[in-house]
Amino acid sequence: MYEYEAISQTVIDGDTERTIQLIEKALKQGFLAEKILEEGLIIGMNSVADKFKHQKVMIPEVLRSTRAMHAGMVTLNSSLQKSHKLEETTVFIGTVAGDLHDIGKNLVKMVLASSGVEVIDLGIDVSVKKFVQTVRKEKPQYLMMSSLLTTTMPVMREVIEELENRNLRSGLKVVVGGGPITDLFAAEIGADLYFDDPFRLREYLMEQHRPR
Amino acid sequence: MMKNYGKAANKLDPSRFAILSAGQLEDIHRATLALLSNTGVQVDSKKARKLFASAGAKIEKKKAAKIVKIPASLVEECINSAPGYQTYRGRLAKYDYRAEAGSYSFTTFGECTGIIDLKTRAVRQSAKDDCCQSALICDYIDAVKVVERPLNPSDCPVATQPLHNAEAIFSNTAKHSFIGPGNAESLKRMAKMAEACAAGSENFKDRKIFTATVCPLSPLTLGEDCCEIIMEAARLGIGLLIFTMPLAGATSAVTMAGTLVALNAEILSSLVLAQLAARGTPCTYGSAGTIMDLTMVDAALGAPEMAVLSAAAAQLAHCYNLPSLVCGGMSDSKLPDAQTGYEFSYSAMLCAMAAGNFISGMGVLEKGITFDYAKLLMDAEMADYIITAASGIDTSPENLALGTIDEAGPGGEFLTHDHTYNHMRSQSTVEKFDRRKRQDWLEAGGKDLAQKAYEEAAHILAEHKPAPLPGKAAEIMADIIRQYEIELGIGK
Repeated sequence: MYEYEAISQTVIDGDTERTIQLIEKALKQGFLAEKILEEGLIIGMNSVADKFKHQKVMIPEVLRSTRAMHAGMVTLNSSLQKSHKLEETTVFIGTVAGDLHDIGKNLVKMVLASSGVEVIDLGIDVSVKKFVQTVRKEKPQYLMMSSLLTTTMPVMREVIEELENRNLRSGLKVVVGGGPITDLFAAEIGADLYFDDPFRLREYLMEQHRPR
Repeated sequence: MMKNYGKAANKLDPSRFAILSAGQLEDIHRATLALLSNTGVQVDSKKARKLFASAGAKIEKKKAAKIVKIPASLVEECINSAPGYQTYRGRLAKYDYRAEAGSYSFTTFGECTGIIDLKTRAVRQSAKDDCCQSALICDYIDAVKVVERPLNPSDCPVATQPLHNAEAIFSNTAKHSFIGPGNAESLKRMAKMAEACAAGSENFKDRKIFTATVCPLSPLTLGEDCCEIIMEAARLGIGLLIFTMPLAGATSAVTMAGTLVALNAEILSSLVLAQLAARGTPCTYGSAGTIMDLTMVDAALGAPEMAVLSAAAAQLAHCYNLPSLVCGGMSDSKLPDAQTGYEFSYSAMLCAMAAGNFISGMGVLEKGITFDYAKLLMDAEMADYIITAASGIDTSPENLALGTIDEAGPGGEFLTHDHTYNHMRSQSTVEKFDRRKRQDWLEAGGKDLAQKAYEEAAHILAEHKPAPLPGKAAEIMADIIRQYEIELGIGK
C-alpha cells in the first residue's frame, strides 16, 4: 500500500529520478506492474490533474509531473502486459494550415504521452490534404486539430467537410482545441469533441478506454 | 492570502517616482513655514497654548480665537525630534509591521457610518458586530498590515463608541490599529484595554498595539479634544496618526498647492505640539485632503485631486522622514461597480508609486460613509496587482535570462525549462478576478466579481479565527467600558 502512495507522491512532486527508483524497487519486491501503474502513477497524475483544474498548481509543475509519469511508464513497460487499452488508442495530432503556434498541441501530446497514449504528431501548418490522407491511410481512432489564430480556425471546418465527402468519418473522432476555439465553434463545424485543457481530454480518454 | 503574512515588505526606491520636483517640495515646505509663523493656527486648548508659548511660539488673540504663530526654527526642530519611520506593533510580535522609506501597504478608512449588509445587501447603519466582522476580515487580508478602524458602532452609546470599537478591533485582529479615541479620557481607558491585550507577549510593556488618530480641523484649527489627545498620547508613549482632511474650495484654497500647504501646516503644527508634550512621540503623517465638488457642494473622495494630494503628501512625509497614511482607493459610487473598480485602481496605484506607507481606502464607498465587504475583498485582490505592477522589472542577469533564451533557442519553448519552474511563483495569480475561458466561467456559475467577493467575505467570517486574546483580556476590556459608562451615567 505504502509503496503505491510513495510512487504517487513522486509523480505529484515531479521527481523523475525517484519515480524510477521506487518503481524499480517495487518490481524487485514483486509488486505487479499493473498495480503500480493504476495505484501509483495514475493516482498521482490524477491528483495533479485535479490540482490543475482547481488552479492549485502551475503548468511547469504539471509538466514535471508528466515527465515523471512518462519515465515511470517507460520503467514499467517491459513488465506490463499489453492489455492496457490506452496503449492501443491511436491518436494523430496536428496544428492546422497557416498556423505555427503549437504550444497547446505540444501540451496535449505531453499529457497524453504521460498517460501511455501514443500520439503521432503531424506537426505544424498541416494541410487539409495531409490530415485527410493520414486518416485514410492510418485509420486512427482520434484526429486532433489545434489552432491559435482566428484566421486559421476555418481550416478545421474544411478538414471535417473533406473527411465527410470521402466517407472517412466512421470510427473516427475529430477533436478540436486551441486558444480561440469554443465548444460552440466545435459543434458548429461538426467536430465530435472539444476540450479546453489537456487534462479534460485525458480524463475523457481514460474513461473511454479504461481496462474493463 | 494569510499565508504570506510577514513576507518581505513591498518596497520601492522612494525617489523613483515623484509628483513634486525637489524644487516644488522646497516651495511647499517654505510656504508652510511662512504660513505657520505669519498666519498661525488656532489652538483651542489653554494647556496646549502654554506649551507652544513656552517653546517660543507667539500667542495672539483674533476675535474670540487664540492664534498660535510658530517660528520656523521650532517647526524644523520638532520635525527632527519625531522618531521617523517606525514599527507598528501587533498584539503578537509576528504581526509587527515596520514602515520604511519606500514601503507601502493598504488599509481601510475610518470610520464609515453605514454598511451594505452582507445578507440583505441593503444599506443600513453600522453596528458593533460590523466592527468585529470587518476587523476579522482585515486580520485575514495580507495586504492590510495595520487596520484603520473601518466602521462606527452606532448601536453603542456615543460617549463610549471609541472604546467599543477598540474592543471589537483588538478582539478580532492581532494587527496594529489606528483608532480615534474621541477625547483624552477615553484614550486613557483605551490604553488600559490595549495593555491587557498585549499582556504576556514579547516586550509587552513597550507593545503599543494601537496608534491614536487625531484630526485637526481645516482650516488651520487644533480643537480642544485634538490637543488633549495629542498631549495625553505623548504622555502615555502612544503614537499619533495626525489625519487632516482639507476640502479644496471650501475649507482650504481651491488650488492643489494651496491645499497642500494648509494640510502640511495642520499636520506639522500638531506634530510640534506632540513633540513639545514629549520629545520622541511617534507621529504618522495622515492626508485625507481632497476637493469639495463645487457643483454638488459635497466632498469627492474618488476624485483625482484626492489621489494627487495623497501622493504629494506621501512625498512630503518622506522628506520629513515620517511614515505616512494617505487616502487612496476610495470611491464615490454607491455599490461595488465599475466606477468603484476604476476609482480604487488608479488612485491606490498612484499612492503605491508614491510609496505612501498606508494607503487608506479599502472597502470604502460613497465618499467615505459606506463600507462594503465586496469592495474590501475586491480591493485586496487589486492590491496584489498593484504590488506586482509597482515593483517594476528586475534586470539582474538571472532575470535577463540570456542563458535560458539561448538554450531554448529560436522556435523553442520555455514551459519545460528549469528557469521557468524556478521563477513561476513570481507570476501574478488570481483568486476572484477571472481569467478563465467563458465556458469555464459559466460552468462555475458565471458570477461577477462583486458576487464572488461577497461569498468570500461570508466564507472568511465563517472560517477565519484571529490569534486568541490572552487570559482575562476580554473581561478586563468589558470591565473598563462598563466602569466608564457607569461614571458617565450611561451604564447599566
